[in-house]
Amino acid sequence: MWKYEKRLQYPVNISKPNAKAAQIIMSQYGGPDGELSASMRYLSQRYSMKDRTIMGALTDIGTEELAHLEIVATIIHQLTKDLTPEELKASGFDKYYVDHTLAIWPQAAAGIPFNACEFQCKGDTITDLYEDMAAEQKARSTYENILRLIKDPEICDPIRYLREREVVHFQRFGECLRRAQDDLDSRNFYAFNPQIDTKRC
Amino acid sequence: MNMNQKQLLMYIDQVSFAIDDLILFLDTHPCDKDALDYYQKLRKMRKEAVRQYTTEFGPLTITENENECYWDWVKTPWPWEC
Repeated sequence: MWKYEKRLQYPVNISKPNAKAAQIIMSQYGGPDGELSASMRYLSQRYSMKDRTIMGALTDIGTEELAHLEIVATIIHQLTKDLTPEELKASGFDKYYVDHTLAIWPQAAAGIPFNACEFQCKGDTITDLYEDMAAEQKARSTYENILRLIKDPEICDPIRYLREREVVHFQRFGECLRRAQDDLDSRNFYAFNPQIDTKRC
Repeated sequence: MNMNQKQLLMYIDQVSFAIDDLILFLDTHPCDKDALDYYQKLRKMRKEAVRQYTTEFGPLTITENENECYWDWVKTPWPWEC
């Protein structure tokens, strides 16, 4: 189960609306490498994982991603608060506004709705951990792209924090992978899948 | 510790983040004595700060509502409010 804490993991204080920036950052809410994908991927992968250490890392990183989802939503909310119809039209945010007003809805920057096909739970220890490490790198690249497009320090501060966490999570998943590989046949990690085959080499 | 609400919340954010980062390290290094000691130290710091915050400014989690006359959970600001 989960318990909500009434605070952000990292504070967000944005004083100037900027709908263009909100449109871009939205990709980290519901886009292909966003926080929603990340959280659902890790939390869903836990059940078939055989190693209790890896189950722990998936639980705790998956939970942290939910906190990141809330940070991203807060950034978008504060960037789009109290926008006038003129500002909406000028920024190009009118296309989102017509369907969702100023509510938060998971989609990519280009308008593609959130889709569970953006992540995988394969039920294969090595495959899933490579998926997780790749996901952290893709999210890091996306945050770096955002930092290339946006220069407002009030927005960049929490984005830099989120980018940094991707690096840490990559490291932890790398340690999980090494741990899983230590249990396998070093000449052929795919000789069997510990999540299905009981045989140990 | 004499802090206003903003300062105390920032202190809680900082201590809590240290714990968030440390638990991921402990997940993959469960025998690391230094990390385990640091965890115990941070846990006490956070517990004390959250207790002080709850008493002075209201609940951070739903099980900490101390006001017997009003449901403070829905009165204090939500984190996305500026």
